[in-house]
Amino acid sequence: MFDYTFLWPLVWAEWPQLLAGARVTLEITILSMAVATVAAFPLALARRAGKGLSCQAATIWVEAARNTPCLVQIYMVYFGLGALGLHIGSYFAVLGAITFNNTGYLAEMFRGGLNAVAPQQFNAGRSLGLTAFQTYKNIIFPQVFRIVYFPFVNQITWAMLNSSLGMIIGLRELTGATQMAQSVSFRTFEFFVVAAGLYYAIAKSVQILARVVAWRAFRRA
Amino acid sequence: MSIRKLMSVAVIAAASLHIAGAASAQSTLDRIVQSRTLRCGVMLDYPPAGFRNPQNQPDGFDVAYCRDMAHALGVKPQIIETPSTERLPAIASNRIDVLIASTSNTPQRALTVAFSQPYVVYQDVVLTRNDTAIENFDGLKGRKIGGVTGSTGEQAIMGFFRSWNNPAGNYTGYGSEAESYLALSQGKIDGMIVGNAAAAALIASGQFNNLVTMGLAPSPPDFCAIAVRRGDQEFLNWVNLFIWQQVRTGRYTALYNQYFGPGDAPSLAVPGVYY
Repeated sequence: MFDYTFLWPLVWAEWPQLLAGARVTLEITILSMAVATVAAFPLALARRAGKGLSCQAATIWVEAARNTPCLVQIYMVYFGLGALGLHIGSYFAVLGAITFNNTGYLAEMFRGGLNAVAPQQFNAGRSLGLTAFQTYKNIIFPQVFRIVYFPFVNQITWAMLNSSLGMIIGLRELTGATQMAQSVSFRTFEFFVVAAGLYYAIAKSVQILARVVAWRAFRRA
Repeated sequence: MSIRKLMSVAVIAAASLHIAGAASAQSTLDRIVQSRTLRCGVMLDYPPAGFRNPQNQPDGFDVAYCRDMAHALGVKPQIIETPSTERLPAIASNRIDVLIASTSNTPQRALTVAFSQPYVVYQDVVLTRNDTAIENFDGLKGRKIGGVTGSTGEQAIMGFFRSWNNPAGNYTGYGSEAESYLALSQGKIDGMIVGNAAAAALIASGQFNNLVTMGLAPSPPDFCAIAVRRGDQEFLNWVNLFIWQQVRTGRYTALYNQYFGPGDAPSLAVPGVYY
């Protein structure tokens, strides 16, 4: 019993708003992944060390980021810090929370990648006269990069989908823009179908781009 | 899945929907009477129109209207919690028979559902913190204001916000009432407009002791209507008669006094025009 006529013109009238929302979604995704990638490396190295204060701090971060819902993390940054009198705008609260979340996952990914490279390779590099930095740069990291590449692409998609939670604390990303548009005309089905299509298109573009990059980067092997 | 395969699945899905549609010629009114149940969609996060009482039972003005409606039909009421975003899908997918959820009756929304004549009316008031020095609606100019994404209150205040064109101010739309009240209480925003009944219930709840109301907002009265499926003229006629009866018998005023406050219940008519 579903006698519902889909009226698409009402959706296209709101298309610019949806695109503006999609742009915010993409921005949050890219920025949070970029910052998290930089932040995750020291965390992975600290956890590999296996002892010391930095290892403990990194472990707390990873445990908190991976074992609590992203929604709770967003609430904590926005309302939790707000209760302490520290006010961060919606945009940076979502960016901060998703970066925190990504960093936890990426740190473990990188640690796994580092563990997958046999430790003898480091010794071999050193015995050939390379410095520690050169060994990491020329021997270890190129292999780690290849191991973590596809899980990393996965994490981009995950970050993008998590950003939809930002709508709750007032970020007008794709889900927020959709929510607002559908309430005007009650064309909920149409708007959510289009939003899902946009999410799919963004995720698929990232994955196709990643394939192209992988093909160019790895085919020498 | 290949494109061709995908296409054939789509065609089969469309065809089965069509058959299902043809088989559903039975009127809603008959179905309600025969099944002896009236399924009402109500928002239970919108006190005092819809909420859960300390016994965790649905309660509120809208819930009472649903029970009255079921009584008038001689059937059992079934309250189905329907959050704001799910209101249209619930009607369209036939999960509920009727939506009694303080829904503002805009012409755009009437493209999608059929609205009855108004059954309740709210007036927006200014809600702010006691330390913002905002004393009336004009005090919101150039301030950080907020609202609930997708609410008609948001649509009303955004109209004013754009016309002020004051670069010092900004607007933030939150996911639900709960987040917007918390943001206001914490100082992330300085003011918002809220329906008078919701504001009174919020302040009476004592949840946020730093929130106060500061006068009326100049937005037009927010008339709310009961909604049914767009093509369901037969049931809509019945709902309109029901609303008229509620007013005529004094039940409207009694429920208004019970949930919204003492005094005369506001008129559901707009002077100078028939509905």
